[in-house]
Amino acid sequence: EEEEEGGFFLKELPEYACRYCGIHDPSTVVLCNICCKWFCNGRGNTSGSHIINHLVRAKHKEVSLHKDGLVRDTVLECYSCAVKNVFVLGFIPAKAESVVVLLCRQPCAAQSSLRDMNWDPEQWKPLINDRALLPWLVRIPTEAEQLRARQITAQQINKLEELWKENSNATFDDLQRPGVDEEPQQVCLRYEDGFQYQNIFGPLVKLEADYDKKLKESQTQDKIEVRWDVGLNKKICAYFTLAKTDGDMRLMHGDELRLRYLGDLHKPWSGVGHVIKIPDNFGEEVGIELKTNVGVPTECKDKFVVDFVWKSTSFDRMQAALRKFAVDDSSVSPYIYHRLLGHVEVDELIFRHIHLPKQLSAPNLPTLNNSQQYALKHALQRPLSLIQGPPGTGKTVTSATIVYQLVKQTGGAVLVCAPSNTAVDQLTEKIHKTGLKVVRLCAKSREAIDSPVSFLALHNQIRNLEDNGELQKLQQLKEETGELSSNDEKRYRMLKKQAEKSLLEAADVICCTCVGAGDPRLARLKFHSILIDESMQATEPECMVPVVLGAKQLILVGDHCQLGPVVMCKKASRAGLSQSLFERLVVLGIRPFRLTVQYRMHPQLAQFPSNFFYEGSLQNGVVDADRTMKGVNFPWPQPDKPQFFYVTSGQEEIAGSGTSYLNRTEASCVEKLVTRFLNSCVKPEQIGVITPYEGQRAYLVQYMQYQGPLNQKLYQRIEVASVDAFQGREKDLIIMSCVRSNEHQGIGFLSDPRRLNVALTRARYGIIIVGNPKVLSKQGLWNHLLHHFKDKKVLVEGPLNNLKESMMQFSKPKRLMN
Amino acid sequence: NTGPESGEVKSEGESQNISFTLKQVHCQEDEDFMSEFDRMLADNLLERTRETPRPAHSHISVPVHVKSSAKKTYDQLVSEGVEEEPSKPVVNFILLTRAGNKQQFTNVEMPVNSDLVMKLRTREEAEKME
Ligand SMILES: [Zn+2]
Ligand SMILES: [Zn+2]
Ligand SMILES: [Zn+2]
Repeated sequence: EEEEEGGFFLKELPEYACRYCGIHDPSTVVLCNICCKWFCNGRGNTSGSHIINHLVRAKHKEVSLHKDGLVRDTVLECYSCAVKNVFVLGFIPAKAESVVVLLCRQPCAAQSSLRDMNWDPEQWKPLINDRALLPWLVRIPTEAEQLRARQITAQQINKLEELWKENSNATFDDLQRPGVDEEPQQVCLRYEDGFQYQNIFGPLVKLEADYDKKLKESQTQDKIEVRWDVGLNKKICAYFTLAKTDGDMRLMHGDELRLRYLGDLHKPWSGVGHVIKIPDNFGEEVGIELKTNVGVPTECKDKFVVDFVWKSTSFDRMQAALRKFAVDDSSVSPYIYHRLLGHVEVDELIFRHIHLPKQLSAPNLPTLNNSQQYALKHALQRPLSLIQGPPGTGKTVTSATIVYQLVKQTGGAVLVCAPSNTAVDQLTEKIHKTGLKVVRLCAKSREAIDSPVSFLALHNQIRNLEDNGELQKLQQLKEETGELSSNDEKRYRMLKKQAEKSLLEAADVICCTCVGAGDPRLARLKFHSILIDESMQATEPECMVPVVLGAKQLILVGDHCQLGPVVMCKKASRAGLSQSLFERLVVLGIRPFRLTVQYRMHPQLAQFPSNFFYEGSLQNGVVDADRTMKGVNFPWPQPDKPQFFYVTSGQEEIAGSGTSYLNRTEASCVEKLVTRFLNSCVKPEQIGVITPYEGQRAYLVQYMQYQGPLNQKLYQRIEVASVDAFQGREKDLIIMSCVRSNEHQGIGFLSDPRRLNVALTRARYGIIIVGNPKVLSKQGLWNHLLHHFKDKKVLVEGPLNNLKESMMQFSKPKRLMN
Repeated sequence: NTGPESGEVKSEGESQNISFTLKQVHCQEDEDFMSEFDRMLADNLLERTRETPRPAHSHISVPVHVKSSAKKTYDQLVSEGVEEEPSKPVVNFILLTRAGNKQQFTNVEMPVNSDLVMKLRTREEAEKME
């Protein structure tokens, strides 16, 4: 059951679009009869209209009008001699009637006989006036239309005309296409128009897609042993262990794998399934649910091969969104269009006549604090707003309240997106609490994956529809038997489509991932208001997928001081694909509205992040007592400051996979810390262990379970993951293992200040960093952090039950250049 | 419902004004285009006088049915145009063209301030004076 990507989504310019600027209103365009290309009658930033520019440069002279234009389907020619040269054509009026006739100047308009026939040849006027065709023959596109179109320059027009001499089918894009080996063009701060935007981002998305494809397709593994199982939905599942795929490759729920049988106990077989389990603390097994149960060789156990199936869907959707943004002027409002492109001449617009609600909150959600209320007002009053939510400042509640108020105000459906499924689910849950009608749209490949908001998912809402007996019967039959007859299947799909359509149309809020907004099921819907949460984690093209669904009011929520999007292709990343739209808009001078009260961290833990990432603006919504663990006996070096830097000097090693690092000394320290916490009645779920390297993650999990003195099951329940996996979440206690301890090389991952910010702001009650200060202090921000710990007398060393202040010296902090 | 009338946000949204304008960019390529245009215009007109082609349809008359509808006073024409779209000051004219042997009549909207419309008006006024 493949997802159909609707053709209607891939809007292309019509054939009669101006070859220079893309304008395509039939009343504004003219066909050059000689080369059969269309041009508009607007002059853009040149001194003649595009059609005249073309005729002069190509030395072409004959034109036709569009059949749906002001004057229907007319080859312009002299009434009398049929000459078609527009440079000599003009018209004369009748003496007494409101009639004009198309005539050439020489000789037809000069005939003396005309005067006797009540024409007024003296008044002959050319069809070309002021280097454009007469506006009553071919409309001149309005200024707004011209500003929304491609801003082509006279130089580019020249080059394009040159290209056409060699290849008549060349397009504007061919002017900028880089060669194969060339570095891609860098992203800009400002863009001339949507076409330039597409021309820069399109190739970067392509690079990332190609990289992803190569990576996935090179991951084939053989000699796989399979364990078979059947899921609750009667679908066959296969479980197996893959050799470590360290490095870049990250397997995720919903990814597709192909399993092939190569043995002789069964005829050749291959089947595709979605990943339903990935390696975690409970085992290194990978599980997939097969798409079909037919012919699966469940009697065979070994000699299988696993291939990664690359899917282009998300990249296709980004490309389609970029294209839509360029060519379809209903994709976003003109205001949003120009603001996103960074056109400085556009003034900030405020909806002055909006009645702000008296009650600045939403049912069943906490009352907003002052900065959250201002953020809400700020967002409701503007067509474009950025809301910055530093860690723990109630971003989700604020977003959910904004969505609630938007629905109340506009009466229309609001589209809510975030880059990750987890973030979407969190927000969906909150919005649902307000009593709005919410639909969570999931990719078909993720329908089997459970989440706290599964009951809001479109596929489940359909299942629970009360008044659709036939659909339910078919659904039940399908689940019981696995397959339907082809007629039943047709009927089932039709009914399902109808039910989906009516549910989506009735919803107040539709929630999905950014890429999910490109789902064909949404293609016919338009959204006036769109909110994107965690928007700093999406690449720009990813963000554009929801935006082009009609945005007139766009709210980007995020925090450019936390981690940005993951871009795997270095070339694309270097060219700027890893900069988010949120970040670019901030650089463009759109001031993000910042939430300033944090409710997560012990005030002592919030101090450094506030000073170094938020200009000291974070206030504490909690006091020390709220964030002090009661009854927990732990040897904090300074009990009123539940944090410390644990000095180690263990060696880093290259992990087994060859592409990652591990550090045994640090692992053993982490185990001791964890054991100490568990012994003083801290629950495993309260602890998070952060380590930047996959090698260290795998080693730590093993080490704790086999070397730790407590029950293995306890250690299993502790989450060990990368900084990136913890973004957007919190834990009561955080232990961070830095791993890198090499005097000569850099500290890799740890040098990104945004990653450090995220790492430092996950803990509510306490944080411990395990690492080698000598190495870390060489990096500017870490140097500051280490001095901060030293000043607080929490840079310590020695055994856990006898921690002593470390006397280690390192260089003075340098002034940080922000 | 705590919010305002649903229409309000939308109408504000639609009228999102963009306060910048098209700017003509002066450059060598554009200068070249302008002089090339002037030359092409002059050359083409000159060519016609040298060639002296023969007009095929030297008799051009306004057919009767067009005449009757086109025989309106300026004021009538203006009010017709204005009624259709009050924001656009236009006057309806009929454009006479030929495609092969077939005459074609198309309604076109002349701007009120065009030479053509002005002349029509002064002539009518002159006639009235007589
Ligand atoms: Zn041409
Ligand atoms: Zn054009
Ligand atoms: Zn002629």
